[in-house]
Amino acid sequence: MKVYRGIAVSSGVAIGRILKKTTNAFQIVRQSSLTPEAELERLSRAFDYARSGLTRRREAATEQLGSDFGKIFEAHLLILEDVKVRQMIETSIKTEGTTAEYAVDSVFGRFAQLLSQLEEEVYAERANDILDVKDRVLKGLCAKAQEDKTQASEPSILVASFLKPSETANLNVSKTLALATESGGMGSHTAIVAAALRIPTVLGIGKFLNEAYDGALAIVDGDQGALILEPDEATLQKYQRLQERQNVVLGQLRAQSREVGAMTADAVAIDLKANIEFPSEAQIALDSGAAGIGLYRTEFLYLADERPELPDEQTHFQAYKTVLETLGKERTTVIRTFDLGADKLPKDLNFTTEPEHNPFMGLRSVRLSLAYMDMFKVQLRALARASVYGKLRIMFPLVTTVNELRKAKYVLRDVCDDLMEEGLPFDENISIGMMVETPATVLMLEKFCNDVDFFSIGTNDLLQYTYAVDRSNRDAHYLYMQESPALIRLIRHVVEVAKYYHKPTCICGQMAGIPWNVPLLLGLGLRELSVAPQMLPKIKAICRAFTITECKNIARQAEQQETADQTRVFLRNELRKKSELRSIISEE
Amino acid sequence: MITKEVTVTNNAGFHVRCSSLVAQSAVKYQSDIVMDRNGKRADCKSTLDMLTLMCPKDAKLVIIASGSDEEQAISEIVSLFEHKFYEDEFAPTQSSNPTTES
Repeated sequence: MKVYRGIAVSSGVAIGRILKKTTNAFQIVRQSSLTPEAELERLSRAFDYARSGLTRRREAATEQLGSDFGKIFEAHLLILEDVKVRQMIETSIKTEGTTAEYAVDSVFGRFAQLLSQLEEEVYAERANDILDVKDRVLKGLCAKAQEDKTQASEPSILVASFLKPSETANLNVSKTLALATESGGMGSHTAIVAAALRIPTVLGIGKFLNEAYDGALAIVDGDQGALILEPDEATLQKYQRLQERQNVVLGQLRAQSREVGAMTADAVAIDLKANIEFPSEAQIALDSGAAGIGLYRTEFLYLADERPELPDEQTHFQAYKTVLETLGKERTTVIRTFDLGADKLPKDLNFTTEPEHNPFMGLRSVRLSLAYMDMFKVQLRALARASVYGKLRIMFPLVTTVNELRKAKYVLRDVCDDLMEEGLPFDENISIGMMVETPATVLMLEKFCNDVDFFSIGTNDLLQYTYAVDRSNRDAHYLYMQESPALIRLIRHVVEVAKYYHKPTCICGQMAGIPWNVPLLLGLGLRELSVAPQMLPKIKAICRAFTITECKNIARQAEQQETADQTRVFLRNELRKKSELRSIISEE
Repeated sequence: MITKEVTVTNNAGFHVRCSSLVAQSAVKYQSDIVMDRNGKRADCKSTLDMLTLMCPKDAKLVIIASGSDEEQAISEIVSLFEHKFYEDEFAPTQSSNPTTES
């Protein structure tokens, strides 16, 4: 038995058999049944194929996107022409009788590995280029694509050295019991995706693949961050019991959750919705008892694919249609427009004139959308077209001025006018809302009221901008606390102003999904919460345990605390007082 | 056999562009040409092989050429180093040039 420790990024325990994700997309046979001359001939043709492909792409890229991008292919061509590489490949064929595929794979692979181990990042990056060229040559050899092992026949524990976010997003969830990788960390996209899909996942384990054999029994502990290979009897039993307990609790919660809408102990209805990143999560959200989608983050449409292009209208449209159809016309789906900075877009598209020193405070979100109308219109058009399939609400992120809001609405109107002219249907009554994420927005909230149908408080960013702290900054991280006094005060202000102007307000940041904060938020006056789907059963149970009066008391007392730490301690205590919640919160 | 010592003077060290320029020169010659850094050797006709030596600015290398055209070979390669690989004549934005990574 071997126990490996890593970073727990998605909770849950899984017991199953290992399936190693092959990094090779091709079937490689070592020994050739042809003569070396024949293999060399194949090799030569494959190189020609690769060369002409790269040359064509270099020209097309340079023409369409500029010489910087063309230079990537230039670099690939140089790798292709490397004399030593070619020599080593030919030697392998001539002296060892290997197939061209094997020779290509092993020689390029070796160089890629050598480079990836060098300290300097710039050399390590070349490793990926080498692998790209390798794949191109393999394609030229008409190497048969390997059966994609990530779509296995039996549900298994998938292990790999790393997983690209797009690969994680494309996993067959029903066939994947858990994930364990050598690299990766908490904030990585793979972690976010795994958590969203509720697959127990441990990342950043370090080297272990050599010890993991296909079919071997293993345990992934997504709570403690452990991977156990070939567990002994005692460990196996311990985890089996743990898994049973977890399943029982979860099953109970989910069953309760699905049947009944969320409400407090004194029967005040709470609109409990889900935050999702992928279309496939919409169904998971419904199954977990969501009353709607409070936030569909569209960023993964821009990040998931590795092509250096923006997603086209049809890609957007398909994603939105899927979600809207799943939710139907009775439940609302709130979709947020592009919320990233230029730094997250394909690097070669050059969205800013100079590298930003402060991407968080620069051209991002609605600002970027308004600066790049074409991109914005593509998204808005797709949203408008998809609106006929469900009950769509569009939300703009990081709005700080009334001008921005009005401009964004204007672009949407423009887009809808176009659709009308083209005779394409769209919902004429799409609700428009905005995120409340900066002190400026909170302070001036009433000025926005004439132009919106709803607000959504993005507590993550509001916390960052209010306390001037970057949540990913390890040294300042201690200031990033959801229970911070200023944040609570700002939320109260928003709720009061919004109530006065009859604007529904939802809260969709992490704060809403943290169990002890729920009574506080309800006590401050919020009646709409949007959380990650896996939190829905718990949050519902918490709502049910308190009356609004109790929540109001809790909120009042919380506001009297001096520090975030004190507030947190206070709130946790209040939660513990409810015995029916013990089993749920014992893991927190 | 001829040897000549050279120093890497490029700010970003001996990176892909330099490596490929050396390879393109070396490949024209019949001689065997290698570069040696503290005992580690790389074939000057291979872009990738030279990269594995990972030479930063101020690194000292020895170029060793051996063959019928060893003199011209070594002089051409040494000249590349001495001209700093003509780095100042190239536009600063190149995706393979590490100095522009933001």
